[in-house]
Amino acid sequence: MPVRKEKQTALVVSKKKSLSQRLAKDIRRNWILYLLMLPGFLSLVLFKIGPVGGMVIAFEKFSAFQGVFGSKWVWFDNFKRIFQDPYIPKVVINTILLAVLSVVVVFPIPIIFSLFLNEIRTKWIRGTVQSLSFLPYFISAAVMVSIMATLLSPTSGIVNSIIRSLGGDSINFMAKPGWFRPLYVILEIWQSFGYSAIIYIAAMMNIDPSLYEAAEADGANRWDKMFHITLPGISTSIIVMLIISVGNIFTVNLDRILLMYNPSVYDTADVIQTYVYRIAFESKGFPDYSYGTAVNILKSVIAFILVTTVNKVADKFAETRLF
Amino acid sequence: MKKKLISVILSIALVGTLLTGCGGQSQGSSAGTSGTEDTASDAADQDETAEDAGSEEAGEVTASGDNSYTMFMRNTYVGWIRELNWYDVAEEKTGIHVEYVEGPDEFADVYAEVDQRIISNTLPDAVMTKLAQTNVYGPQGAFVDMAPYIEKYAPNLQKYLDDNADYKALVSDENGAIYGLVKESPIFQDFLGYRVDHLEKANIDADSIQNVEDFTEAMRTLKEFYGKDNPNYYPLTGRECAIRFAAWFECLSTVSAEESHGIYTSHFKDYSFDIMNENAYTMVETMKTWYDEGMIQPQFAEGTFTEGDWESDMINGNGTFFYDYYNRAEWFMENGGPDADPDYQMGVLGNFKDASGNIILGAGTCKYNEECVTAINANCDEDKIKTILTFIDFFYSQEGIDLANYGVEGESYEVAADGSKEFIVDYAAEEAKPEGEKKWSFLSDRFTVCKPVDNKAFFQWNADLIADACAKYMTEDCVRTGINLSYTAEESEELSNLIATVFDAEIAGIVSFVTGNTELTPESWKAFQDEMNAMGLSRIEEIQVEAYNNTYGG
Repeated sequence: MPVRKEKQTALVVSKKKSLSQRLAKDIRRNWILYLLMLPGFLSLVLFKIGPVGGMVIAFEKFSAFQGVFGSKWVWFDNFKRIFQDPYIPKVVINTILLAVLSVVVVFPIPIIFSLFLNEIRTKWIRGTVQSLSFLPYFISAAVMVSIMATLLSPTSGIVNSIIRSLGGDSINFMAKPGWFRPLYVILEIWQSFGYSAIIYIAAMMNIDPSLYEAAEADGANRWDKMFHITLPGISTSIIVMLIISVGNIFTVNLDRILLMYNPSVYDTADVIQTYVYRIAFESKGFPDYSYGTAVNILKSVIAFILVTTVNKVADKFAETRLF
Repeated sequence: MKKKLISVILSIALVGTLLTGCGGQSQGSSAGTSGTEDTASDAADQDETAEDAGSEEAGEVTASGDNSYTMFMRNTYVGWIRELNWYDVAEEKTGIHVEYVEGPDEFADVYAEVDQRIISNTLPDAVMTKLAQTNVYGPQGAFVDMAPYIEKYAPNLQKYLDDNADYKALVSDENGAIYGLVKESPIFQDFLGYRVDHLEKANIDADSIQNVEDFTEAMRTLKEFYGKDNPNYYPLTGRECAIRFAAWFECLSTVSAEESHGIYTSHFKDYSFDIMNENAYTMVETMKTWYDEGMIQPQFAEGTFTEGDWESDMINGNGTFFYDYYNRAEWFMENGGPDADPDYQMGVLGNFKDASGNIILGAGTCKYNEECVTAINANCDEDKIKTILTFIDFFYSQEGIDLANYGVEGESYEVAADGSKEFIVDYAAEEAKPEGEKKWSFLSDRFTVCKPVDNKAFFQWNADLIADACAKYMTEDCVRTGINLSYTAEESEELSNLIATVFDAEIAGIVSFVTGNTELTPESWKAFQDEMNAMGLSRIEEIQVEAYNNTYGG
């Protein structure tokens, strides 16, 4: 019998077509679907995957005139410079602190918000609150920072007016290094929590209503339902969002930082992106695109390692993974 | 079948839309191109002007073929050019028409677009770029070596090169090649503007303010006088960064064949300082006193006061002094000062004096502006190069110099009996004309065309308040002229990276001392100096000395 089984397996293997043959067959069968996929696929290749090839300039002394293929190849010189640059540790620390604060403080806010919003029974109130929370997402960084600067103005801002009316002295919040990170995080929450909350609210819509009915029958109160049904019900979305957040840990909002930037807060506000921007684009000399790209590649590699690690951890402890 | 047809049409439409965005590179890449999409809207008007010009002044010469060329330039500059009467006369006289391709407004974006145009092979015939770019791209073959063509087609420019060894040294590489022509700039310093009426009401004699100590004492009196009723009053105000008073303390950054102190590159005038100079400690100490006693606008000292905030403060009487662009005092007179207060009157104080009574030099601009460089696309043929250089050469002829600095005799100026030229058009009336309207204007601090600058004309072309102050304080006795330095590509790269780190760190450190975030003691100051040297300040100084010797053969 075992001999016969082996023969059968061999027959199946020999009959199995190659990937290209199978793909060709699938394309013939579902050509309309493939045709509809074509624009998206081309867009992905031309504008997402293709430009990644340009990152090869990190290994070159890039000149726009000589191009990617003609510029001098310098191997890892730009990467060596990163590790020899005495200023890099400072901007890396600033970036990580800002990013960790963003993840730790910003990440839970939309979850809490959506949990409470879900408890509101009046539909129009829930809808209005949700829409209002979503609005700041569409406001540009320049306007957001201007609003904040106006509110915090030491001479005419409402915050300082309150401080003065309580007997205190005006504080120029925008010029205090210690206030830079809290203000950045507050803006991040203000701008993004409504958007993130939509994802959690959408996940809550998929929770089976019979679970709530059963819990009510068992005498569960609102808190019990929130912590024992709603929260576990959206845990997959939370983990996916957490993995994405960790992947973006080095991606701070450059526009916002540049707008909040001033000599008084350089100590805390100077991050990898602002440093690279100064070297690559604001340079008084010849712009150093290669060095800027090298820093960004290193940043991406670290982010990739972090995402993979968190993905593994999530898979191990929460049985949920992004990829 | 219907569904299939719709699917195919949709897919094709989407792919078509997608690929349209990829664009092409048919424009501007070769000699003889006649503009790009940016110039299209203006082309008709300009062609008309040029054709008129051709028929009147240059016989059969018209603004087509080799009598026109395209040039990429920052959009603000293009706007200025289009308003200038004298520029139109120059096109008439040469019979050459330039079609400008407008770039972005931000300087960094302009130079980035030059890179993009080089990559995509869409560079027009000529381009306004910066010396750091022409120094690298020129030898690589992106730009024409103009040296032989200047000799052949531009006699006036050649004479200018021969007469100005510093200019020739700056624009030529080690092989004598010239890839970019640097714009000449007027030489001027910032002025200490003040409210004359404020000082009078507080019984302060402006002439008695001769040095920083007098100035501090005057501010103390003003604070006492105006500050008691106005909590928002600070005698000294300004915009953006307050680390701009180093000249008063004689601690400017410097460079010579032997040594260099502080960051001189790009900061020979604005934000020029040397933290290793012992007077720098005094400067920070004094600024801290101003800050602690409420004599300097705190947001200005902290670096968060915008231009709008400052202007508003000066107009509304919340400030008395500022140290800024030379003609700003007049700007306040013209932009709401007297409307806000009938007594409003601005004045300009002269340079401070040192302990021995000698005038302390203010930090002046360089004679050549390395950020405004004209280069020619290497794809241009000789006819096109000739056209471009002929047009530029005109501005180096006596006729061109007179035209660009004074305009047309009888229309904008007249010659006095002693041979001097005097404007006969009114500065205020001309400069007040709405944006886009043609006018006589001779603001040579603006980049319009590559040309020599007549400083006398530049200073004369101001309101009386500023013209008088310029006559007194824009002299060699008062202004330190900046020195242009030429760097190799390697030096330029290293220097740029170091400055990107050190300059901001220096500013942040000084601001921190002034505002009290860091305690100012000789020990903490020494630690700050050491930190800056470790970050690369000393290396910057070394490179600057090397560059000085490379440029001027020290």
